[in-house]
Amino acid sequence: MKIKVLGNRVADVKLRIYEPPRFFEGLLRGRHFTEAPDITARICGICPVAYQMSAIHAMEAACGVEVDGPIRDLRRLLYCGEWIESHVLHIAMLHAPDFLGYASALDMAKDHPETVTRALQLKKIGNGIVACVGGREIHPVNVRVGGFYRAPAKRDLLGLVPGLEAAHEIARDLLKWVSTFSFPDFETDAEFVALRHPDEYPFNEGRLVSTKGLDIPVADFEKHVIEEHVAHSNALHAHLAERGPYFVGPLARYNINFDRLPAGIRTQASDAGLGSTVKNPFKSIVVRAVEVLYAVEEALRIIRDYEPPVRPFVEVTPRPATGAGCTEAPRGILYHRYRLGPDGLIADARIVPPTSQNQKIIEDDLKRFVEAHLALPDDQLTLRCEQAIRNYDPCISCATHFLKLDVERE
Amino acid sequence: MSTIVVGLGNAWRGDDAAGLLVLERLRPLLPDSVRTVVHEGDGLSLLDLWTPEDDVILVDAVLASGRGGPVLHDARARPLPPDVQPLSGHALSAAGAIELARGIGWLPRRLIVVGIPAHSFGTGDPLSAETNDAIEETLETVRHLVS
Repeated sequence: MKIKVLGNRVADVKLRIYEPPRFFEGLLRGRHFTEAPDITARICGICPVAYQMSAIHAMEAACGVEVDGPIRDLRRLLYCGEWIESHVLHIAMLHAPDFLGYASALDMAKDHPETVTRALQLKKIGNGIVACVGGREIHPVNVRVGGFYRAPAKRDLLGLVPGLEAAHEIARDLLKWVSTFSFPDFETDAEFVALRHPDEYPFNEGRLVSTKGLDIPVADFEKHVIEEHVAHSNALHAHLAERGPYFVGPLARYNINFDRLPAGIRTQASDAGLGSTVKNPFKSIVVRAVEVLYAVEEALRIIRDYEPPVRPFVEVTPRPATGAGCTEAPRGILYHRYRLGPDGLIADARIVPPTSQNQKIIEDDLKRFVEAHLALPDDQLTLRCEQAIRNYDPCISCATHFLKLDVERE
Repeated sequence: MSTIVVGLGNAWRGDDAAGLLVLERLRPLLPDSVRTVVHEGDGLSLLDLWTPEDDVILVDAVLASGRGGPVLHDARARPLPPDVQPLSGHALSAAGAIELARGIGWLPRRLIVVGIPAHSFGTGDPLSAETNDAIEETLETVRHLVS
């Protein structure tokens, strides 16, 4: 990250992402529409479910298919598993050490072994859900366009219940623990964007809604979101047309869907010091803990009500059409759009991941944050900046703790 | 208490496959009482493989500059060297996982890391001749450790 300081003013902040492009959109061209969920899952080892879900929704939109009932519930359950895995990893292994002044989770574990052990136990419950529904913990193999290759039996899911009941208590304690952290006095006026569903806290479906008036169907994503290549980064930057940068992820989901959380979760959020709107990005760790608790409760609800589908998938016949899908990855909205030819082959693909959408906001946050903390020595400033970047849990291999901060003061 | 031999690596990255190849060849040679596990994922999930009562041998490729046989490291007695360059903020290496286990009191009763000298980690690379030679000696070393 390069910060240019002129006097007591930050003139410029640039987060340089060196990871080379991987050309997934290019290599999808010419592949059969049924292959997209498994190919795109390989984009990320932390949120493969998100890639699979966005891909299947886009394909089903293109083919004019709607999936409901237990298959839809299983998709939500799979997503619960991924949110638990991803959020707990981030909270306990990456973000909490920042707040408590440790260089890493390895150092924190020496002083907080019980907390780390319980967090790992919680993460394992998430792994168990993904393995049960998705076929394995990482890069699930059971997801297909139209549903699943095999639906779990009721008894398979009931086997997860004791672990989830234990997880509920751990998740509550985790929320209480992170709410005691000390948060810098810092707020953002960013436009938050997330899915909003009429009834549910969103995983797979809804309209794209913002805190400043945007309210569009997923199919209109590209009319409103502009991606551009900037000279200093290999990752595309995104902004809303005629509106500017925007903020996706847990804070956005929470701010837009607070009223969609069950009453008990809202109370626990309130007990943890959160209002119905959270504008301090440093409190994202608390919001993530709220979402973990929600995912545990939602998983228990789905399992309780589950009856296996007669057939684990609905038949999907390809047609020449374009379809878009957007789901809530742990880090925020993940958009896929595919154009299919008459042969069911992918003619064109577009994928917009959440970290890419947040990059401009990360830079803007850092600019304001650094300006307010310019008096700090560079090593302390680096620590604070790592923490600020971590608020977004960016899914890039150079994310924080590998951060090289270059402050150019004039 | 179980004896567990874990082969770590990536089958598609040249010499990084060495730990997996050793495990594949060892399986028919080890007594039934020894559990063998292939581990290709995130280091963090290593912690799910053992309990503090177990006897664990981890077999993995290690970066080397010359020819030679396997390198043994008693990871209960001494930490492994820190990672040269972490690859991701969202994943732990095997060494990181071992240190995390040490922090939370989850190290197995015995933890021996058997490092196979490796030279090439390129995508799709074949196994180098040097590492192939070292695999033979590693088989004997691991058999001796579990005997």
